[in-house]
Amino acid sequence: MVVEGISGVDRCDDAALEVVHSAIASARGLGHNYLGTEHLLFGLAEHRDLLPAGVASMLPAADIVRSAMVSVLGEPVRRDAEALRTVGIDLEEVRSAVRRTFGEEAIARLARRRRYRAWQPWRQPSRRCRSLLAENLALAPRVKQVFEIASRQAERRAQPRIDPAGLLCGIVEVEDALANRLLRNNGVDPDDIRNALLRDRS
Amino acid sequence: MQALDDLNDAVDSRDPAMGLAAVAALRDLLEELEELQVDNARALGWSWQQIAASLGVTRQSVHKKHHVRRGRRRN
Repeated sequence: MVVEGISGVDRCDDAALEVVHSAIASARGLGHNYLGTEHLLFGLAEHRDLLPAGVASMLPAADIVRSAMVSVLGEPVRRDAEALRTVGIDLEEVRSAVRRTFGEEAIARLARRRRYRAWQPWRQPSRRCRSLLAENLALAPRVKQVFEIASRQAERRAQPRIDPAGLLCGIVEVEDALANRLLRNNGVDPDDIRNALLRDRS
Repeated sequence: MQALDDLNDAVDSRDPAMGLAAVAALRDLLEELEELQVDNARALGWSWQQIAASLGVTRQSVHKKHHVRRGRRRN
């Protein structure tokens, strides 16, 4: 699984890793080429049994998170490889040709690419910064923040590893994370979650 | 290969959904290949003028599209 390279993932315990894997799967399923806080939220909602019961009951259901993601970020991406095959193009072939010519590094760079869009403040922000050729996921900057916060907190409480509750803690700390917007849209106040977590963990 | 048969059916039935998706995917693929080739050309020291000539567009349009994208990295 492609989680190496996520700093902080090596500090996750098994339960938190399970959440991360489910987050990655949801990002793939939606055709995104990055891992965002919203995917982590989905992972947590799906594996809510790994969270303290009082906090778990506050999270919206996993499929609600998913449809909230879809409504903000757009429909799951069409199956490009199949569509291209109908016009006689083998995406795998193109990919290996690119790999031969420009090397693995070029593909990795494509995974990080953002589609250039003129600044249009009246538009919803588009998160579909994906690449057909690259398969690996880039890490959204706010996910890095989440892991940083979570690992700092684990240190502070002298836990050896990050647990799922730590991840959720990290998410609600990153104010402008999309995950928090999704929570608010579903009538959940991230501050309530933070307080519940504090109560539970103190 | 059930999926492949389905695809052939889709082509045969002239399904616009699949046809349009193929066009959109082609366009995305084209953009990515263009980025790769332009980056490569710049890395090899090509001028925007030379790149534009090879792409068959004006220097301004290449510059507008790719210089901004590449802006935050090296030139």
